[in-house]
Amino acid sequence: MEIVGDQVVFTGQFARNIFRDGFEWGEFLRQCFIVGYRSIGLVAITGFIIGFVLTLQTQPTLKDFGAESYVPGMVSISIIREIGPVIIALICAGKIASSIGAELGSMKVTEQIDAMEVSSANPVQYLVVTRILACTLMVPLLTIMADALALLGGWVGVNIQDHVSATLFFRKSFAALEFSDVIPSVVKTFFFGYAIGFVGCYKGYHSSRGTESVGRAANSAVVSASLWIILLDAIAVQITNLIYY
Amino acid sequence: MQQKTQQKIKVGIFATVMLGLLLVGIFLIGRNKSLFQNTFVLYGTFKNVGGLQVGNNVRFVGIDVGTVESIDILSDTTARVALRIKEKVKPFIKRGAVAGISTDGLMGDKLITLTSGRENATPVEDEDTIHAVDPMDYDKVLDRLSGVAENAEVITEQLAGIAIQINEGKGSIGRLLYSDSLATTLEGTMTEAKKTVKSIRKGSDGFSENMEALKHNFLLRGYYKRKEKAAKKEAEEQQKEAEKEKKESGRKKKQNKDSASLKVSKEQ
Repeated sequence: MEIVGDQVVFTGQFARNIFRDGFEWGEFLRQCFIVGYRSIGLVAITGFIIGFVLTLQTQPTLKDFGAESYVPGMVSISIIREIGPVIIALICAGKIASSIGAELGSMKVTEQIDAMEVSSANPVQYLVVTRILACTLMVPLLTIMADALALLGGWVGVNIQDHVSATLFFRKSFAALEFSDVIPSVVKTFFFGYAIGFVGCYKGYHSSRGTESVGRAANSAVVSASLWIILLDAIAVQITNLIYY
Repeated sequence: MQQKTQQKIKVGIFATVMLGLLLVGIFLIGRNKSLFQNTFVLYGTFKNVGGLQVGNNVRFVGIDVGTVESIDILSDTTARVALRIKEKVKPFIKRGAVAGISTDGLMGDKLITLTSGRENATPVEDEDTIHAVDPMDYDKVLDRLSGVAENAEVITEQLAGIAIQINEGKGSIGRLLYSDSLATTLEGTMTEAKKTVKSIRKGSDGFSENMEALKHNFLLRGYYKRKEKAAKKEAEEQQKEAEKEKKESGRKKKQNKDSASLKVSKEQ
């Protein structure tokens, strides 16, 4: 209960500091670079392989039913609705939440955060707000990229066994999609991003004073962020079903 | 400082490209739903829409030209389906066009197929109502099929009864196949028939002997002799006629030969 209350207070601090004067644009952009740009390679490879493997796995089964023409639609719906956002968020949780947790944890251990407070700099505004906002904005962009590359991977996967033109594949992929597939999945990635940034910052910011607590902060940041992503996904599905169906 | 600017540029390019991708995706999905094109609406009223859903395709001459926009219940027996169709196909859909509900493939979705109206008719207008053909009601088909099956059952039962009766040797076919007495009677009849044929042959032999004896009898001898003479005369006359014909044909051949040789000598 204490942790929950602590997290609520931390959220309040974050919210207050977003709109406070002196928003750290430079640090925010630096965090965007670290969180977004430096994750492109990892996310791109993951996205491409997800689409590729999903196609290779489903194509034989659909072929048995004579429903091979449903491959593009199935790949696009499953990736854009569910697999893309969740897997990319989990990857980001592993890469970003751990690094934020470790970074803030070591700053806490080495009393840099205390030093900032003493020198009347606002550590929440400088360290927490920038990181959480960077995660909230960059994870959706990374997911869009992964989705696009997953579709490309799906097309390559289909072309290993058969020959399907890119035009036909992408036309069928998008024909199967509705706005009710794309919009909720984009919206939920903002929440995933927020959860990654928030959990990373919270775990790092509230780590205890020992050296081993840095590792613990990084570790628990990843575990908690992953759990939050799964929980948020379950809630998002319910809300989407309520709104659209 | 320069590094920070580079970072900003990279983040800016990344964000722009990804937002661009999202926009392209939204545009592609919207294009499929005819969001960014001029469209018009047609209505069709059906008694039964057979599982048609909003968003199903509308097909005209085999091409997807629009989607089902809405399905509203008008009364307890009719549903009105609104079709959003691309403006550019409007000139080809004539008044009197008919909307039907069919299935895309074996396991596919429902879709509306438009068939063109009369050739000389004017094109449809926005918000026109076109004729609609109700889809095949599978329940009715199944009802009929069950009737057929019942009939088939009755027929097979009757056939089975007939087969049982035949097996039991009842009825004419059964007796024919299984009754021994019929076969023995037939055999008896055949031997009787053979005996009868033998006695008939004997009778005819006796009759021909009797006839020979009659020919030599003095009362009828004259009659038979006259008959023989008349037959001889006839034969002689026929012979003479045949000889005459032979002679005449021989003469004709000779004459033809002579005339041909004369012609040859004249030419020479």
